[in-house]
Amino acid sequence: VVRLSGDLTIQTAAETKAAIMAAFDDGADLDVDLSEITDLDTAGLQILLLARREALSLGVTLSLSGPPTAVREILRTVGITADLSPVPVGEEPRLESATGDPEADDVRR
Amino acid sequence: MFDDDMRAALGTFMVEAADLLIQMEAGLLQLESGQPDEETLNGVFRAAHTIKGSAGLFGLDGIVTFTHVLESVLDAMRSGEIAVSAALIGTMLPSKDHLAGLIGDLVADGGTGGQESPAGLALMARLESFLAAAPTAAVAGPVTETVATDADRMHLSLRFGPDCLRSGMDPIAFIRYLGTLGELVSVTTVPDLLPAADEMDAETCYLDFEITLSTTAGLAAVEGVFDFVRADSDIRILTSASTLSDYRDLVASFGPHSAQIAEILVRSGAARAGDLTGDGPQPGAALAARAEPAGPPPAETTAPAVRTGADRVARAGEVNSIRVDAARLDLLIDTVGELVIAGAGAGLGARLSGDEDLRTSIGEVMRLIEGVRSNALRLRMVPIGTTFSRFQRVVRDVSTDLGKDVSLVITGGETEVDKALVEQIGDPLTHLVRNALDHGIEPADVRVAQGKPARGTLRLNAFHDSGSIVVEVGDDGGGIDRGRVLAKAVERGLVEPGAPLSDKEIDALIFEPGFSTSTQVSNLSGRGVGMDVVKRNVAAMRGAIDVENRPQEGTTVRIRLPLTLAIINGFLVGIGAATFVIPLDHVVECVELPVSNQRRDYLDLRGEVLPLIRLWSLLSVPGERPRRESVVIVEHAGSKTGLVVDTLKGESQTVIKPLGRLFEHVEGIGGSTILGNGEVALIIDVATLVAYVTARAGRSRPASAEPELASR
Repeated sequence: VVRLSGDLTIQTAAETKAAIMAAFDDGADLDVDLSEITDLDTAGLQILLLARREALSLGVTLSLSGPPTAVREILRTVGITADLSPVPVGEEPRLESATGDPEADDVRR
Repeated sequence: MFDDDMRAALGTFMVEAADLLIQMEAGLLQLESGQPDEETLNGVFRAAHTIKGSAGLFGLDGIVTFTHVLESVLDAMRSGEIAVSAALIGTMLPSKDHLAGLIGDLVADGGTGGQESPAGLALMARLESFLAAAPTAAVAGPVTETVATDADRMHLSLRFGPDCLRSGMDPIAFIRYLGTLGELVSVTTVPDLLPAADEMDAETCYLDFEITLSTTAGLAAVEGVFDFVRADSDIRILTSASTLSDYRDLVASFGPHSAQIAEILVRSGAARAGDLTGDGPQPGAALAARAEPAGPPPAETTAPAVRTGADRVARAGEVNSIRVDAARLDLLIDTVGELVIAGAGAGLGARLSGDEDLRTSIGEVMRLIEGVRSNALRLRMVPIGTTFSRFQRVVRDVSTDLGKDVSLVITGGETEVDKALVEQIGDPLTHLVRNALDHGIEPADVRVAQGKPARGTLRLNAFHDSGSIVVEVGDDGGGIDRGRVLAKAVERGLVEPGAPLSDKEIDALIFEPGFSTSTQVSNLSGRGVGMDVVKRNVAAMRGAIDVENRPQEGTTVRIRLPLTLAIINGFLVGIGAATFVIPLDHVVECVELPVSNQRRDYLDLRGEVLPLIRLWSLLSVPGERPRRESVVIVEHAGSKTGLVVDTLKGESQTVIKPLGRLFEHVEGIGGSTILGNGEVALIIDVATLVAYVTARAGRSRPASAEPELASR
């Protein structure tokens, strides 16, 4: 389990990357706990996407737990569900304007 | 959420916004003065638009909302729905000021954009009333919900520059802002460009975003969102007007990842599979095809999407100049100043040592220091024109308030002045301009009665003159009424009744503290705090001010300022044991004081009569006078004077250090400096000395000097 806290932004991206990559070393499934994350920017998003790709190539499962509403909202804005898979385009849920209800389309498929 | 990088980007935004606001004001004034010119109007619109777009990126909602209304009005003006009128410009100029205020407030309130003030709401209401008068005006953007049709769909492919994160630009913020322009139909984050984990730099941006946006804001508005990042990024916007080959270009630009992109385009409905693989027979992309039922696409979306290329070229040109924090420049100049002093010290040591090689190398070092010095000083030089053009607005506002018709003529705007001077000259100039408008230029009926054109003229002029810069504020008004000035001066006890004053002396009285001849106090000037404050400000810049008064024809106030504040070329002279510095710009020549001349207060220089000042006597320097004294002929504002000194010591670079507060009222001394040998030398203020002598000569000439001359 990797527990992240504070802002997952460019300020913390390098250390977050190191922490997650180190966690892959034992070859076990990895759970990244996002519940303490307060802000997410593109740099942070990249790290999460990198982790997902890494997990796929290593054949382990990467799960994200407890992203707060604000983070989920950001992920949704860029077309990514909370389990880091892309939202299938052109199907429901359609992305409403960025101010829409964040819980409305937290649909995992 | 405003971290340091964001703060840096915000600083850039504020600087650019300030520039844009200046352009906007110039454009508005131009619109008011001339025929509505499409290019000018477009310029104003673009300025408003860019500010709105950039403010949106920072989430400055107050600014976005306000600018949005302004932009809507400008847009309606562009489409001809609202005609340019004095009332309209009269609302837009304060709106621009309000916007400048909002942006200025960002520093104070930490960048939240603040709540809209009552003044701002009132302005917005006034702006909206113009829109209401033009019922067809389309209001685009965040505050109105408009139903977008398929014709307004665009596909955006955003590959931000690798450094965008480091420079505080977060692509997610851009995407969020796009969401306020319309509906984000689909957003796909493409992670395929991410390198292998150990090659990936956590602070470099690798992600690509493919977005389908449905908006009525128009292509220009969407493109404007990316103004800040376009130079480093690959931003492609495809509309229903884009051709199939644009789509193929987009897909091809992804190289090995083109298959994924093609799939995304197809999935998001932007293109058909066959089109992208190259075999599609139909011209036009799927966006265009989907647009058909909605009729022809609106005019704005037909703008060619390839315009981004031209923008990029324009932007590359701007990179030729860089912005530097003024404080850093000052630090450089200060250090160069110390370097000059240290160099002078080393030069002195080298001369005393008698080592010829050392002298040669120090000479070379000094030559280079001189080059560094002049280049460093040139860095601070800016054309005065930007300061001048600010007065277009002042003249407009003040003359409207006064009900006078005045045109401003600016000449010499390219004259370069030290940046610090440009900043400090603004206030005195404003005083002078207001004074000229209020007191100088007569009301139109009076002017016509005197046979002058009804429209008054105010002139701002600048030029270089023997090491100074001269700034003139001239009007073609009634001039200064000397009779009234004199009467007022007597009434205020500034002059004895019946004192014999020359015209020039009477004119100079207007610079006396607490002097104002205006019979009625207006809210512009005339409270008697004008001219003496101006004179003090100018004196603080080591400058001089005088007034040229042509009754019935006009007044010209002339401010003479040193080119730079930091370093002067000095001429060293010795008086007794002390060394003084005379600014070299003022030195005309040096002659020996003829023995026959030792008792007279004037000098015959090749037939020209010059007053003499014995510095040892004026400055009370003790010591025996040498057998032979020298005269340094100095010139200031056209009058020459001879300064009698003991010895001539030659030229030296001099860094001016201000005198302490205790000495600030000492007349004739303009500052101090440290000489190469560590001694302190005082700098002679030639302007004050010459003024002193001119005043003395003016009174004594009829009695002594001329008869004596005549007797020779």
